[in-house]
Amino acid sequence: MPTDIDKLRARQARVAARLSSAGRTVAATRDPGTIAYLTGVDVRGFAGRGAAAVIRAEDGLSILIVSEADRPLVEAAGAAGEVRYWALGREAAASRERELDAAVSGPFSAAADAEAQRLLDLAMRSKDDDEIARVRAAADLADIGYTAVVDRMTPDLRVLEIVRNVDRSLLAAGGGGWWSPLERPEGAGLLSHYPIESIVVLLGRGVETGVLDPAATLPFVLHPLSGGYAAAAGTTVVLSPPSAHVRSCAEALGAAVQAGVGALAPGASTAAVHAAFASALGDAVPLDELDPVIGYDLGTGMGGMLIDAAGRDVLEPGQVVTIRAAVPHLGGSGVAFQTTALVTEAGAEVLTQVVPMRLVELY
Amino acid sequence: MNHVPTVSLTAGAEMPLVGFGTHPLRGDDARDAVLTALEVGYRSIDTATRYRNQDGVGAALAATPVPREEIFVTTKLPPDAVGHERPTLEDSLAQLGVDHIDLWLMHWPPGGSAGVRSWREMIRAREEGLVRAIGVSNFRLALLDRLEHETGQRPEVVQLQWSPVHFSPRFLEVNRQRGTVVGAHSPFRSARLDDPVLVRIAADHAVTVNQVIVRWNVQHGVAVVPKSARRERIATNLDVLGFQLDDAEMAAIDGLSELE
Repeated sequence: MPTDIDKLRARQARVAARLSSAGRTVAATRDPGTIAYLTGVDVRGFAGRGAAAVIRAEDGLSILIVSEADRPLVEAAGAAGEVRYWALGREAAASRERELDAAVSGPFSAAADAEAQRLLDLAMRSKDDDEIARVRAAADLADIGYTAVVDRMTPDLRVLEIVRNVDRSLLAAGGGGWWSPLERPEGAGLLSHYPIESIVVLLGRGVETGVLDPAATLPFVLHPLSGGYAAAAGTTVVLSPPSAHVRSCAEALGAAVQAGVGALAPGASTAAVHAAFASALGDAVPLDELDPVIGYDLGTGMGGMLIDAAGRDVLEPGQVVTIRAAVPHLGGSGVAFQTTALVTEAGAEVLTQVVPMRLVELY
Repeated sequence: MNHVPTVSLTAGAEMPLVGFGTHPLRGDDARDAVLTALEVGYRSIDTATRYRNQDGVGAALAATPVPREEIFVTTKLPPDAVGHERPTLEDSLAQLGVDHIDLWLMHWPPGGSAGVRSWREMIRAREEGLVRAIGVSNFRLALLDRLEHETGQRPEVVQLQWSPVHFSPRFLEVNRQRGTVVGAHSPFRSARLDDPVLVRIAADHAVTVNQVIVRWNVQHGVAVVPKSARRERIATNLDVLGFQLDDAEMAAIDGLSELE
């Protein structure tokens, strides 16, 4: 039975092979998901901002660079590889830069360029059995988190009470970690996120009031981690009857998500998935009113593959993809649906099984 | 084998006062636990669409030698099924492999409301014989009143998290007066199992604290659904008919309530 360290070494070896074949000796990243993949340490809750990781092609070993403030968290995580700490206090920024450069034996920025992240994304794309099991567990947590939101929903809840209900349910189910698409520039869409650092995120709320408006739509998404791996699922609650327009748009958005998932298959291009999505959407919601982020791959966070009309990536078995359809402002706070699927040899398997791609009518 | 006492519901169904709770067991674990429960004498099984184990419960119902008509099957409608009640019921029937549900509960108040729209569909399902009895779970008294006011039909059962710390004589009495049976889910999870009062009473009767809690519910006429995945505990939780709590003991346990 491979240990967690064995599994980490296997991931590092895949990355090292990818770097070597591309002629690179080193790659560096500040992306929290990639750091987790390379080091086995989730830095999202760390106090010191700007954590980074480096991996060498020569031996596949990684270096984690974090603030001295986070030494207890690193030790608690059981980090297996080299860790470099930058100093606290007035010298923190300069110390961090020195440690980053020392970790790559040169300018950190050159090792953390876009090409490095692209190679890392490619190495992380297809999942082994252990990784898929972790994603499945995260998807199960997303389903549990959904029930925690919906079953206990009342119009007089405060937003942070919803967050607490989800946290409590997921901790009881063995989860608790969160990730966010906002960790990557391409993950930001038109619907605002609140809270950002949370498993459950309410979408499109504009100026955050902290209380619910029963007359407005309530779109939300869940971003749980299990064993360091991510899933995503979202839907929209209405606490009073929606208008016919909102209802028809929501039906089209749900159908678009289903069509996008239906188009996931080995050998399919991301552009083909987008085309299926757009076709199902029809004229009900103009594409230019849609949030442009309609899908991407998942792993230890958001991956580097986007589902869009110009996408040339080709899907392969073992990839995990989330598909989403969202329209800002519709019904007040917008309408959004999101699900997560695994690309299999035969097609795709939806991993989030409970979250409905339709309006959840709670009244 | 001990015969578990039953209570008559208003539409005529007979509900055992001790049932087997299946949350959070899934798949083969749920099937195996339900088979064990039926083997040791349970005749009431409590599941829910939300538990995602109706397939496992159904597998046990198919495999057990106990006849279907001797088993009281409860499942629950999730709150997000408003407008989708019938397909949800049909899915439950298919997964459980049965042609009717003995008790169908609305699992949570949809959005905190009484769920009148769903309740009307549940009444219709009872009229059509797809379910024998209908009720609610995790509802306040005011919401039960609302359902009755809107439809003329009061829930036959109200299930809620109920243990000595949740004991409410008013809730119990009002429901008794109005013909609604109180059901207890999570009877151990929410209890203080190391409470000296419970420990002492258990020792006096040479039983476990869990058995005392089940027995206390039975004597109050509360339908309780203890859950365990371990055979010994599954059997022990049902073995509550060999002792009786006296009035002083019942009052002492009632006194553990932490409600205002």
